[in-house]
Amino acid sequence: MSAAPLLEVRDLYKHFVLPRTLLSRLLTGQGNRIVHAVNGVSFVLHAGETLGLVGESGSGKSTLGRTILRLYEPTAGEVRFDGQDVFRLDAAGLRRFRQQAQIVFQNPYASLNPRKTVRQILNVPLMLRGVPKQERQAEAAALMERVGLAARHLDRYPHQFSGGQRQRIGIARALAMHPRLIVLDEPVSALDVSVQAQIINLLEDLQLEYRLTYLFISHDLSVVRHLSTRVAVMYLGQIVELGPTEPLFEEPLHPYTRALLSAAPGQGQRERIILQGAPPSPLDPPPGCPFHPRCPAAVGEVCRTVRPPLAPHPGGRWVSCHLYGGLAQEDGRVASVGQ
Amino acid sequence: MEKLLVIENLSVEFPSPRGPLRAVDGVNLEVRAGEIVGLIGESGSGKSTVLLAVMGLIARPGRILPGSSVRLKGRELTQLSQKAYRAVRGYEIGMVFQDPMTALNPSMPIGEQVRESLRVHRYCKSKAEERERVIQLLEAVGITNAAQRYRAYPHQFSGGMLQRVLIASALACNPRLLLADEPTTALDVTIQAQILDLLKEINRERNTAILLVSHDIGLAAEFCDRIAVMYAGRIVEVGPAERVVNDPQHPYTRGLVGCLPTWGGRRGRLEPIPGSLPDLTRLPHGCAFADRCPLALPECRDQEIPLIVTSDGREVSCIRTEEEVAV
Repeated sequence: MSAAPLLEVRDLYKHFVLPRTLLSRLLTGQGNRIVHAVNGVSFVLHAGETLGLVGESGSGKSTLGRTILRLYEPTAGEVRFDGQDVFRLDAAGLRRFRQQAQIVFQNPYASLNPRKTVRQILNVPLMLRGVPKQERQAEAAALMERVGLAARHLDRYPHQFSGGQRQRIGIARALAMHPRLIVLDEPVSALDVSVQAQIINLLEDLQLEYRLTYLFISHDLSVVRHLSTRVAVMYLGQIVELGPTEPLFEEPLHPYTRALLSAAPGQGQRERIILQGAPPSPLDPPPGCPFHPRCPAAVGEVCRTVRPPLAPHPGGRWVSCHLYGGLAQEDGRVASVGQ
Repeated sequence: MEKLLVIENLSVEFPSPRGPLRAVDGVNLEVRAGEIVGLIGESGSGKSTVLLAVMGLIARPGRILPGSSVRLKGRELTQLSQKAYRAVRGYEIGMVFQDPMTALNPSMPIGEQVRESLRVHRYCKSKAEERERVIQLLEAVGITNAAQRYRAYPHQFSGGMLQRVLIASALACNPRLLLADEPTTALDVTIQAQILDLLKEINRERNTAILLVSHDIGLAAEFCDRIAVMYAGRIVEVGPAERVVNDPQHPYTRGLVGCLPTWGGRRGRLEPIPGSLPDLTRLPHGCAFADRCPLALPECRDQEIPLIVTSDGREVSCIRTEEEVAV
């Protein structure tokens, strides 16, 4: 792993404003409502690794992926790609950045233009990369073959392909730019398991072949465990735990990670931690630790008032929890949570 | 155990531009009283159609083919009139659908929606009694302050809470059988765990049998007593949940288990099943999986493959099962 990370995210915030009508503002006496989708996220991504980003719906994982690519303008914070500040790029710089950082979307039925043939869909990135017109035909054909489709299907429309085949086209479109980073936003969630396995294998092969770096967003814990080098767990817009995959799955530190992992089916007889209630709304995140209202291990006042920082832990791990902050260690709660 | 539901030779067909589409093709399945049975398969395998057929909800132009039989406590359901079927639905069989956001009426208070089946089936003597039972049901499925929330509307609840409301309404008349069509697919994993826990509790405490449709074989393995695996409208393997998942016999079940990332961490590459589902309008005479099967023989394609009982009491529809076991 090289010393300088490929991508560095520092204290990133993305808030969306839900406008209230004038009447509602007058009646409630309050201003617009704010969705705190990404709320102070920091991490680094090294070249060639796969960082799995897990979390439940509404935790902000897709928003984070899109803000990193500057598909959304951030509210605050910094993203550095190869040392360059992504949010300060001019139009030309942004085009160069977008050539190197691509995205594959979740829904292969919605992310391809139904009125264009696959050839037209693949031609756009090839043109943007500056491939001469006479070479595009051969490149498009090679891309199709590379993702496991037949070059003779280039003149078909998206509706003539199955879901798995469409996802392959989405991957080919991203590859056409020769990217270094690909944000994979739930790329297999819409697929049946037998097709899902084909796409996962393809993603692994492509990563080795082109030394790609993946930010792999998914709610499917077993898929993330299979593919990722490291994993970040998001809850209500924040990363609550981050670390190398196996240690994190074997011995999760954050109480939320414990509950999330124990809830996943398919792991045989294991004690389940059933959380009470549902995640709070990102419209109105609780003060202090975002997880404290549901936390079975909350240690008291500090959890309700002070937001725990994402702090280092031995073994290259990071956890955002007061249990590991030294504040709680005196009363012996750590040991009980360790079970 | 008493046989509660017996499905025999069930076939369902829908017309399509390319000819009749056989969504369910000769399915046999039993659910005993108090049992949890999982019906597993990928999209298009016909698993949801089986549930709809049991509920009498196959709408025209779809039809249940002659020779099919669905019996509840010995009573044939396929021959019932629409009116007679209405007395079965919601009274003897409850159903929970996949998406709680669309299964409830957005303009009707949730308490009234749960009360509806009590009212239709004249389960209670008075309106006051109905209301009381609704509140008890809502509390039983884990909705706190049920009396105050009786008049709340669906948009005031989260997805997990709405699924609880749907379960309460399916249980209203205390049916012996609950059909659940992917009841947790639309929910997050921590909420999924809550709902599965609730269904298990209902099964234990009320002895309600559950027929669960799911695409998630890992979930089914933990939740169900028995599992039936469907492929292209046919059942290819039935057996105790733990056996089917840990030692699958049919090549399709093996493929399905083999292409799942295992929870124990990385064990090399996944093994996808090559090819794709057959065209349901042109189902082969023999084994529907033969074209994708690594063990297929010429005989697989020219005869109907019955379910064979294996030495450990499972039923597997594969002519190579016995020799595989012998090897």
